[in-house]
Amino acid sequence: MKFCHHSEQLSALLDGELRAVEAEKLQNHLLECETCRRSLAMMKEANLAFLALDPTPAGSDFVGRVKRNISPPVARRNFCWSRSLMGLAAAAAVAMILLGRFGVIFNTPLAPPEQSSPSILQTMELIPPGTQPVNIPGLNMCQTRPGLEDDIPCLDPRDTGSSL
Amino acid sequence: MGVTSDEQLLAAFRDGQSSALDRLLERYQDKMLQFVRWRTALPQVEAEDVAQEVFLQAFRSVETYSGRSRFRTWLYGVATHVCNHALRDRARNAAALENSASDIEVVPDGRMGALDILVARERRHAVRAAVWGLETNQRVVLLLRLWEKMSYAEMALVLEVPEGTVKSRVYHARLQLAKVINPMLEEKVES
Repeated sequence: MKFCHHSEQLSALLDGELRAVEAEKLQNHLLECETCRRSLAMMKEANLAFLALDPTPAGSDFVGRVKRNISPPVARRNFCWSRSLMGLAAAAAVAMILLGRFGVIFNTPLAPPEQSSPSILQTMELIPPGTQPVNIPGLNMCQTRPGLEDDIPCLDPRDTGSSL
Repeated sequence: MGVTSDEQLLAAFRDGQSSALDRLLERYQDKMLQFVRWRTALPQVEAEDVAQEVFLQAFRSVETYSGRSRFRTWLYGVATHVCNHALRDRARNAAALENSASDIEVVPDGRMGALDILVARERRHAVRAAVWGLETNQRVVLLLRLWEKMSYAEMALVLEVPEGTVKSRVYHARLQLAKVINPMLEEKVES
């Protein structure tokens, strides 16, 4: 097998990787060089033989195995959003319960006036005896319910003996 | 429906269409597996694991694909890195190397000569064996050039080598293959 010093250029010519000027020069050389013509023909045969090969097929479950571990990016993003929204909803529900418990939102009694109970601050002894209960809407129910302020005094557990 | 480009399928995948992933996988699975096999000389089963890892890494980090290069260039670039990792892991475990001899296909062997090839009964098997007889880098450039029709510049990106190196590898690979094919052709003409 003989080779001319242009052999490497022949390979690039086959691949269309030569500049126009170089390609033209080589084409002219091919007209007069039998060795290069033979080399070029052999390289073309090598190309054809390679192209006739089929890649070894992947196993039947190959795609399935890959897909099980990949999900589309948007689907993943939606999933995160739904989780975030669920978290927000849960937090909002807890906040509503807590705020509702203290009547901040609705400002309405949580228990009927007949079952008046001591102020939670008084129960927890957070205010000294004899202090007028703080008027927190919904917290000191007997004072916030109109018309009942005089009828039903707020109860302090420490005062129960004297007032009742 | 016309031929959809890789980039269009990738955009569809990014929009959440899992069928686009199916099509991309079907388009590349066999060629990628062959790339991995020729790049790493691993047996089929292990090569499938590596090829699977290529797709997992590529599609999990698909947001990093900026679109500056073609999708296949980027994908084969990922494959080159994954193959390099696989080879390093394998080199650490010398015992595992012995298992590759049990591979069903023609065992990669750098010593395989033209005579060995010529005794092969089927031409395609002989060509395949000849390809296995090439150096790893030569096998890979032939695949990228002839099957994927990549330019030298694209191959240089994928393999992280200069274009001149790619040109030289393609030439030598072709030459080696031609040396094997030529006697086979002469034999065919004589018969």
